[in-house]
Amino acid sequence: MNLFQIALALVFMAGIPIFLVLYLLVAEKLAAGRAKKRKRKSLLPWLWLAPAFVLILVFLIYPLINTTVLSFMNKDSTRFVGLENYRFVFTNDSMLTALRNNLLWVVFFTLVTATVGLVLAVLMDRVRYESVAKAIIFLPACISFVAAGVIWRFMYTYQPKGAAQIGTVNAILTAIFPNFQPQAWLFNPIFNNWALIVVGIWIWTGFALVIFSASLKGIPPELLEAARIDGAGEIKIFFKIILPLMSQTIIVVVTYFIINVLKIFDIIYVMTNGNLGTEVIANRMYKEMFTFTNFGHAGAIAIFLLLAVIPVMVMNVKRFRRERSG
Amino acid sequence: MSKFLLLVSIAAVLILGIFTGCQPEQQKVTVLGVWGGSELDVFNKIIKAFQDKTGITVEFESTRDINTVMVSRLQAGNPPDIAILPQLSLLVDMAKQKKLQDLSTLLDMNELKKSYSQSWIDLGSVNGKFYGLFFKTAIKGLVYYDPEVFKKEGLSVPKTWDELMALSHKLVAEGKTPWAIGIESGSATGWPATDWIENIFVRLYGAQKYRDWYEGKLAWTSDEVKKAWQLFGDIATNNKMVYGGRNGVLSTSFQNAGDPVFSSPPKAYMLQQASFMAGMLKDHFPDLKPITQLNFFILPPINPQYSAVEIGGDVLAAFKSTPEVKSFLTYLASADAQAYFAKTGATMPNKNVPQSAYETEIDKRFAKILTSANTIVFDASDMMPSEVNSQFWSATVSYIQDPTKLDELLGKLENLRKTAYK
Repeated sequence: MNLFQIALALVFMAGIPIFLVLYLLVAEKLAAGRAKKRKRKSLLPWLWLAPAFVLILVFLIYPLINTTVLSFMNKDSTRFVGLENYRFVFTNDSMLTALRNNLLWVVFFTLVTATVGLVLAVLMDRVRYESVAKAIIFLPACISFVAAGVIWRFMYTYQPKGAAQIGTVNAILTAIFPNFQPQAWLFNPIFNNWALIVVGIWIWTGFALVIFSASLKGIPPELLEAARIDGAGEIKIFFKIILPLMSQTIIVVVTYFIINVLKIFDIIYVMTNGNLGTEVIANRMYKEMFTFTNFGHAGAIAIFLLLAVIPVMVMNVKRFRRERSG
Repeated sequence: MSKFLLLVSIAAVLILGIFTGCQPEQQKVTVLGVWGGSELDVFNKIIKAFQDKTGITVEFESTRDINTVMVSRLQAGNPPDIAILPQLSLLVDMAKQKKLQDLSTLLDMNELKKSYSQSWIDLGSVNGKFYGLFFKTAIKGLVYYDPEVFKKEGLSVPKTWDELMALSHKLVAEGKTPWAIGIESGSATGWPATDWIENIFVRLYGAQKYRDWYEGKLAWTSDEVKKAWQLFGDIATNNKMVYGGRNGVLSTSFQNAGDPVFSSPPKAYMLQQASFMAGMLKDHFPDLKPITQLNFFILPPINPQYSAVEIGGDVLAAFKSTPEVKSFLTYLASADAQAYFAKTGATMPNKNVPQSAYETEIDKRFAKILTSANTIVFDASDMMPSEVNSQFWSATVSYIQDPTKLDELLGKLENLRKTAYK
């Protein structure tokens, strides 16, 4: 039976491209036979796009509509409950914590990651071992979030004072400051959210660095040189020349971070599972959906998340259009 | 043009091939479960024995995230034939959605009752219908200790809760740490604490109240529930009572929780855990001699009129009623099949599994507890609706972090109770 499944998979892998090519051939033949030349010209792009539209319809539009419908239904989607699930999103204790934490993530994660990435990019631009340094900072970006979560759980490990500190963070701190009281980083509500955000920053800073660095290389050196000859200091050059020229890139990176961080899930799921006030929206959605099988709640959270992302996307598209026209 | 027609016909043949390609028919049962590692090895032996006997193939699919997989496969209309569920709440959910087969139509009930006591059948029933066949179980509420250490320090095994607490306070007064507790367990963090509270609850108020509690008929804000939490808190939230203090309890994984008890010199004296912990301790400390250096006692009674043994375990549920499913379930219920797991230290519900199948003395004692128990209750949190269970877990985490929040936490659980049982 496994052979059969493998064969089936192969047929599909080969079959889909073949089918698409055939589709285009047939479509063009038919279009050529039927319509006049001008009409054909306007028809053809639609024919070409149709397969993509079908996929979007099946995998994006249909689930979207379905989720919207579910978000107005009860737990097992048998009864219409109106806005009940949305009331849950904005009044439930865990949801309120999640909303607050996502805000925390959006603001601090984005701010710190983008700033640190930018500063590092500018600084590293001036050293000889730039590529090595960049590679080191970029490395965490190659690790999956889940693996990073596991690694950091080890790093944050708590052992009582006096016992061997096997968690990196407590080990370093107790080595430097002998009087340091080891901390349960993930279990103290005062700083556990920050401990989690640090993990996110650790992963993503390299990504920001690489993008910013590439953009920095695109600034003509003559421009900087001219500024220097005119007597501008390095800090002035950074704020008056480099920053404005990189603003487009920065906006793209920030948008990307905001969208990603609204959906942040893996780190929290692996490290705390939302305990002790670290819940985030996506983790709550996962719980509602798969642990509690509450399709109504999960649907409402999903729709809320979608609505939260839309303004960011709209801004991005608008800016993109302006850039193209201008 | 002829080239074009050729292409079209090739495509047509390919597509027809996909949809009509017939799968070779064979007798087969698909099983979904959470087992991996040594448990899976044992289950594979059972599967092999079954295949040799009947010629029916069993395909086992393992997932760590059975809730997720179950939900998506049910949604897709593609459930496995049999699922091995680690939580009864999932069984109850699916039974209520009418996704499960009534096992009394699949199994010969007269035969089954010869080897399964009625309490197992009752535990696996939802609204009077028998949906879950208990398979592999673990006894909860056992206290592991090192008898040599106890002897050396002149400590005796407590017979009542008061004696237990007196022992604990005595150790604290001597500057020692009586308990080792670890409740960290990934996305299920908190369950060892809920086990504690459940074991205390059933010893305080008996099986009937216990049932009211998990069935949602007892308020979380009631004095009964609060009292059980507080007795647990006397131990777990007292920095002097537990190794590593409250932070240690929160951040120690349940697998490693017993290490301070059996390290030398001991850093703690007692660990409350389920019967499967014996195997983990033996893995961590291979030189420990069972019974003389590693032994256990049952968490002592609080109110002497209530004695009950709490268990947790895996339960089998069937989604299809094919002859192959019937045959495999019948085999799994048999003493033959269950003897395989008995060898690994699991306590099996079939009372005809011979004592000789249990290899070590400790395992034999576990089995005896189960067969001689008057009342068996199942892990209450695993019987609650999954959102209540999940919140119960995480409330214990918050409670240990900040014991002054108890009323607030119970209030939240009570709010959830009002909506979750429907």
